Formats: sequence, structure tokens, C-alpha cells
Amino acid sequence: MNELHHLAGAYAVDALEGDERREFEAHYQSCEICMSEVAEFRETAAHLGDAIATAVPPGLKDLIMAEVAETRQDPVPVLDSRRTVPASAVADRAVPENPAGGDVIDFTKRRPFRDQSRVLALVGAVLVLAGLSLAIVRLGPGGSSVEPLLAAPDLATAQLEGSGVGAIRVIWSADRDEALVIADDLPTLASGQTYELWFLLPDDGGVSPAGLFNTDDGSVFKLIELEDIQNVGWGVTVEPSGGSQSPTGPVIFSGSA
Amino acid sequence: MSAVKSRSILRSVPSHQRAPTESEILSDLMVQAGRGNEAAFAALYDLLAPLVYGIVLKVVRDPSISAEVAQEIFLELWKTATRYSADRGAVKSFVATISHRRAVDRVRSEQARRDREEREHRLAVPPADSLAELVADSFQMSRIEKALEKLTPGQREALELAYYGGHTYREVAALLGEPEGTIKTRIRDGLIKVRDDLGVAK
Repeated sequence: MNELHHLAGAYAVDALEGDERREFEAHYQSCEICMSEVAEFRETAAHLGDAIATAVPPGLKDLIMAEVAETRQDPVPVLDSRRTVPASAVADRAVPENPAGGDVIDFTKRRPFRDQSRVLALVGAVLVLAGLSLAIVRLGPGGSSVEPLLAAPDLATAQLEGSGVGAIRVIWSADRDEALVIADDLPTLASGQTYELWFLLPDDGGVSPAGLFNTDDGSVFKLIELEDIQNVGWGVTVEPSGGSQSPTGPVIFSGSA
Repeated sequence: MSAVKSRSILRSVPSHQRAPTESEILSDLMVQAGRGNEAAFAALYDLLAPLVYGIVLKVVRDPSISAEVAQEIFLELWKTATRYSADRGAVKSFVATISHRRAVDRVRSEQARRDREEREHRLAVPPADSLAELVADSFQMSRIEKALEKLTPGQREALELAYYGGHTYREVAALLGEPEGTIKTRIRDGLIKVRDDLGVAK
């Protein structure tokens, strides 16, 4: 373990700069210990980041999505189809055409705002440096149970607002009649209670039960299959275990697309 | 448009179907975004924007500059999503890494550095808020908080100044009046302890 090895921590939280950063980058990509340590430290740092997640200014999403609609994506990297490479081998290899060449970027220099090649180099370098084993070809099917939902062209999302602790999002597709409930930091309920999701029906049609979810640790990822989604919004109440046909408690979260 | 439904419109969900994990969802959405699916990218935004914006705002501090930086990060995520593939699971860590680096990149421009140093000389106190001063009372928070509480005060201070303050370890050393080698070690030891406490996969 040489002197450079001790820089993995500082490097992972972007506390190195200049020559020292370059030196470490040159070193760690050929040092298995440093490589995995940096990856683990970055994941650790991501948890520190998670703890300071902050509500985003309204309007930012519209700005970004408007820009996205007008922005062509980078070329898809392709492998020579005559060569068959096992997926695992591909996954273990760094991106060969990485514009940074796995190389070093001096992040201390001011970067022109929209200098795409530099930005690309940055992203490429981070991809490689993060040790993410980025595969360069699509490895075929094998998505999660929610992949069909997430691929739906009519995918919609709603952030449900509540007065209490926690955040609930619903991602759904009316075409597929599926909804995914995602929540963070939700209070754990007393035994005998459950969270219940409701549709707010169009034309003041009242509410209709849409499914139950619960949490031991504050987070929820639950896929709910429904019949005929045609709601205009979502609400959440706390109900006795087993759920209710109509809400018995106050709506603690609600929102629409 | 049908009338009000009195019956439950729940379909039964097969019980063998396990709940998707966050990293699977993010990974699926990235794959979709790589295929040009804007709806999936919008969902990805919803899931990741508080993380991205939170990190950037913490380091950059100016809300409008932070929004600008977050916008750049997402646009690059959109462009480079074509490179992402079915190697699953690292989206969040990757996005957090990019966000922090971009934020730090932004504040370390020459001018920003001069301003900051001036300010720090004036104040002569570490500028990073302690995590404990931010809202507590949520699961994620208390889990991190608990992990940070197990650090020595010196480790915690060094790690928070580096990550939340966006300082280099040399700057942290100068701020605290400690040798650089000590700070370097504290940052690494602090990360190791938090890593082990959170059970970050090896």
C-alpha cells in the first residue's frame, strides 16, 4: 500500500485537485484495491448526498424536458457483430471509445458552459473512473418486473404532496393499467394499519381504492395492477389492515400528473 | 368516461412477484431513456432530481446557479443515456458522483475560490452545516446520522467539510489548522466507517 492509496477517500469526495488528482487517477485505475475502494466510497458518498436531497425548484423539470425534446442523444456505441463477446466480458471492460481515454481531466480549470466534448469527456471519465463496469452493448432482455411499465409510452408521474414527513411518487401507465408507488422516509405505521392509495376520479366522481402499501423502513417500491386507470389524481390515507372501500382517515398525501 | 366505480378496481397481483428495488427501477428507466423514451426520462428526473439538486445546492449554495448546474447534469444524463446499458444497479451512485463533481467544479473556478477564501478569512469558522442541524426525523437521515455519530468528531468534521462543503482536503486542513496528512486520513477513515456501517456492498 503506497502513499497514493491513502488518497482514495479524498478522491472519492472530490477533495483532490491538480497534480495530486491526476497522479491518483493515473494510479488507481491500475490498482485493484484503490479501484474498489473508490467505488465503495462513492456509493457511501451517495448516501451522504441522499441525506440532503432537497425539493427541486418548480419549473426546472419543464425547462429540462423542453431541452431534452430538442436534444439528440449521443451515438450508441456498437460492437462488431461478427465478434461474439460474453456479456460478462463486455460488462467488465471499460468503454474503449471513452473520449477521455480513461484519462485525466483537470477539473480545476474552468470549463466553458456548453462545451460538449469536454462535458462528454467528463461524463465518460466519470463513468470509467467510477468503476461502474459500464457495458457498451445492450445485454438483451432481463429487466426487472417493472420494466414493461417503465417502457410504456404513456408513462406518467405524480409527486404526491403531504403535510407530514416523507414523499410519495406514483409512476403509472393507463395503457398498461399499472402503477408503481415509490416512497421515501415514510413513517412506519402501527400494527393493524396500512397505507391505502386512492384514485381521484374525473368529474368529481369521488375516489376509488387503488391498492395498499406499507413499509418497515420508510421506503416503498410497490407495483400495483389496476383495472382501467382513468383517474385525475391520487390520494393516500391510513386505513385499518386490509384496506377500506372508502377512505376512513384524512387524505395525507395527494397529487396529480 | 364511465361513472363512479363502487367496486374495487384492484386486480390481484401475483404474490410471487417481488417488489422492484429502487436500483432496478432507475436502471430500467436509464435503459429506456437511452432508447429515446422521454416519458421514462421524466420519471428518472422525478426520482433523481431531489438528490441532484440537494447535492449541488449544498456545495454551490446559490439556488439559481444550482438549478442551472442541475439542468446541465440532467441534459448530459439524457445525452449519454445511450451509453448506459443493462449493467444494473449503479445509477444512483453514478448520478450522485457526477452531481458532486459538477458542483465542486463550479465552485472551484478561480473567482469563486478567491471569493470563498476571502469570506472564510472573514468568518474563520467552518462553513458547512452539520447534518444534525438539518431536518432530522426521517429514516434515511437517522441512518446516516447514526453512522456519522460513530465517527470521531475530527473524522466527521473533515468528511462533512469535504463532501458537504465541497472543499479540498488541503482547504479542510487549513480551515481546521490541522496537518494535511491528518485530514487525508480522517476523510478516508470516516468513509470506511460510514461505508461499513451502511453495509455498502463490497
